[in-house]
Amino acid sequence: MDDRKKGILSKLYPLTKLVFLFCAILLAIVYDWKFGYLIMVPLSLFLALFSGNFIGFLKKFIGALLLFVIFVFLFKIMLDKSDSQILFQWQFIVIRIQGLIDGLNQTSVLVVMAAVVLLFFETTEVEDLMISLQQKKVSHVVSYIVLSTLQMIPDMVKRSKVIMQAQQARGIETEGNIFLRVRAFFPSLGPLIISSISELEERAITLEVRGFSASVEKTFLKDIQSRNIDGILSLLIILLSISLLGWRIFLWLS
Amino acid sequence: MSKAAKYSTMAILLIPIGIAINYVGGQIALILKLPVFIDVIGTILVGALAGPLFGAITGLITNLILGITAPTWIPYAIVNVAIGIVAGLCAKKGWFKTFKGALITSVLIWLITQLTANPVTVYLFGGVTGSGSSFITSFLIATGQSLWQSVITTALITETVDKFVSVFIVFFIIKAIPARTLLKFPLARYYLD
Repeated sequence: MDDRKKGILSKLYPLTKLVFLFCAILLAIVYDWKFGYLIMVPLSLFLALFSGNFIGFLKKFIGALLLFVIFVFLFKIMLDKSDSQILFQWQFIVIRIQGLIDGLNQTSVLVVMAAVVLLFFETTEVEDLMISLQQKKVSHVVSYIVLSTLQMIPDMVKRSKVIMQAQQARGIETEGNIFLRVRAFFPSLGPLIISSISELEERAITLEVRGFSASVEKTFLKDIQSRNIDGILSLLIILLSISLLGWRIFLWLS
Repeated sequence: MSKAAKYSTMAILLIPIGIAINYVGGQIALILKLPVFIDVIGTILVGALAGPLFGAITGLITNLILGITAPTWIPYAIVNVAIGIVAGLCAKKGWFKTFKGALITSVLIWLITQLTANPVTVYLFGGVTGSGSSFITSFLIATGQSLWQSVITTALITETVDKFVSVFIVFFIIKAIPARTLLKFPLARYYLD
């Protein structure tokens, strides 16, 4: 967690990066693959390198997309019935240039989306994002839901393991043929859900005691601030995106 | 604390649990090596206990949070939102109370999944479902079927059992929740006599 704090991108106000994220995805939707593959992907890699998160970012980026990209190219090449230039031919496998371009166009939006989303969370703590959203008058309920979910998931994974072991000790088979495994599913999940729900009221009372539903301004334990550079950067990103969007619309109309 | 505030706090608190159940359910199915995803139980449960709005929020935030590490989940948020809404509406008809009602709910949830997931898969993902089921799709394309045919056939194979099982798990879980706990959720009156 601590090394995330060192990079330059990590010091930016979360909403500045959020503006960048949305503008990048919007532009990737209106432009073709060249914008995604030749501008946004190198830019994201450069920013990750610049911010010192390169290795972590690259691992997640490849992990999230590799299977997807391989399959899209496979589908596009198989479905390609055009008579464009043949790039590669071996027995019944024919790769034409049109199939590759279709593949690039199909994947470009998702590749850009994956790149900017992963870069965003690689350089931003979810907690900081929620604080900055709350400073912009987004309800504290949203922050509560997101942050408590992030705590709840590892907690419930741990509890589900305990429950499964307890059920195994009582003689429920979790290995073996498919019918045994299907039968093990309900005793594994059921107690987890019911026990979580039974605890809800205590949690509700705890929250209410701390003024969760009170209609007053909430205070923060941690304070993050928007600096001048954040304002300038957001403005630049928005202006650049509007002009690129305008250029694209101009090209469509002409 | 007013009664309304208490209800909505309970419903709000249910959302993180629903999201975690979506995740853990999928994990347990993975550990037990079951051929289903079972990753929307939480959404259906929240929809059934707290109504369409809370179901939809659960679905949305589930996919956004999973998107932090796997961004390809984000576009499928629309599917999870739709499932939450349908589950909530069915619960308001009282269909989670009877076996027959649960059967109708399963069909509707299965239908809305097909209607929302397949366009996302075809238009945005070019037919790739992002899981092992892509192998089925690529096999079907290789046999000469169109992209839509292949994607729909794959979805029929992989989603049908999944959605019916998910709805019935929620049906039985609601039956197992003690009445005194059930009473505290917004839609309790559809379950208690």
